[in-house]
Amino acid sequence: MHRSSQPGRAPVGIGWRQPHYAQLREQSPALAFLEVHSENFFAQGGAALQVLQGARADYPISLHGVGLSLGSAAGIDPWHLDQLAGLVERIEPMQVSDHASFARVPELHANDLLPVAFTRAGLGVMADNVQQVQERLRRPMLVENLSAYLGFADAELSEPEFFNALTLSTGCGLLLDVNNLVVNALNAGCDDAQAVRQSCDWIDAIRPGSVGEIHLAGHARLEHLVIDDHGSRVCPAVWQVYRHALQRFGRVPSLIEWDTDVPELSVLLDEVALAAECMAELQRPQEALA
Amino acid sequence: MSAAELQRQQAFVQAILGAGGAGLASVPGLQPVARDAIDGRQGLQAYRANAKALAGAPSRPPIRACWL
Repeated sequence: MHRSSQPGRAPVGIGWRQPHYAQLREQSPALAFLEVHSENFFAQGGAALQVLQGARADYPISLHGVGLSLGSAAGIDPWHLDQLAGLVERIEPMQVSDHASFARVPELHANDLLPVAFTRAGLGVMADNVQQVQERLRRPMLVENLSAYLGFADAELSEPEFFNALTLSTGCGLLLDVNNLVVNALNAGCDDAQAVRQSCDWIDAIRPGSVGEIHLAGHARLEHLVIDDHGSRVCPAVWQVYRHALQRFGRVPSLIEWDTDVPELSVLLDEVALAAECMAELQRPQEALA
Repeated sequence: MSAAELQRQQAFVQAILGAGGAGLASVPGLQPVARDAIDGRQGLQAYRANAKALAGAPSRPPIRACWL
């Protein structure tokens, strides 16, 4: 029996990064699932894949990609999709996800998650790409909202409208990154209270039943810019918005992400306990995607 | 696929790469997320700071270096 299938366990997991590969396998902490970056396991063999396949026996695995480039008008890289499809077949993940961003243009792959225009043309591009991925993987996927530092003046849709249309037209789900909402609001000049309010409004505009997973992470506040660096504990504003999201969407599987200056595993488990506490406050049944 | 979106995305990546001195003005419709908090140059710098490995990058994605 997977640890996640134990009754009553809050569906909270962690992003499993290399510094914790061995320790997590030795200690087997009670976690609902592990999430890894798909691209780190594209090799056809080797130690990393072996570690992941070992963990697969104890935990459900969520495959979270950073390179599909779902918003790319140049389309999906067939090599990348082939590798992902192979990994999905090997691991049989509980979830497959990537971002509402683009990186791929002809001859180049930008090593970043670049923002797409919330236009009808941009929506059409992303819907076509998501459909292609889902048809290849023969399963629905989740698409994550972005932290973005630039946008486009000719947007025809709000970001929630864009996601509502995407999830309705393709059957994919939304991977709701609460930290990204708060980062975007802070970068738009909001103070913490305004950022919470704006983020909650964003959540209220999302179609219930479309959220399949939630991400929680820390961010860095620089003098003129807030960076979504996943390098610190989840801040109070993000916890506040998370509680609101749970009230709206129910006990959606949630993840603690930490990618910069990765701390001791115990710190991540503390954060998991806090997320589980938020869930325990809830009385509502789960409304998330199955 | 949309030719206009493709053109926009190519210009955006070139602006980040700094190739040919193209810059922000070459990207149709690009604007700062926040006029009051960060200007377009800072937004672009935010991406450029994360794009050191971009120049000459292959069409296949390098791993683990992006903001998520």
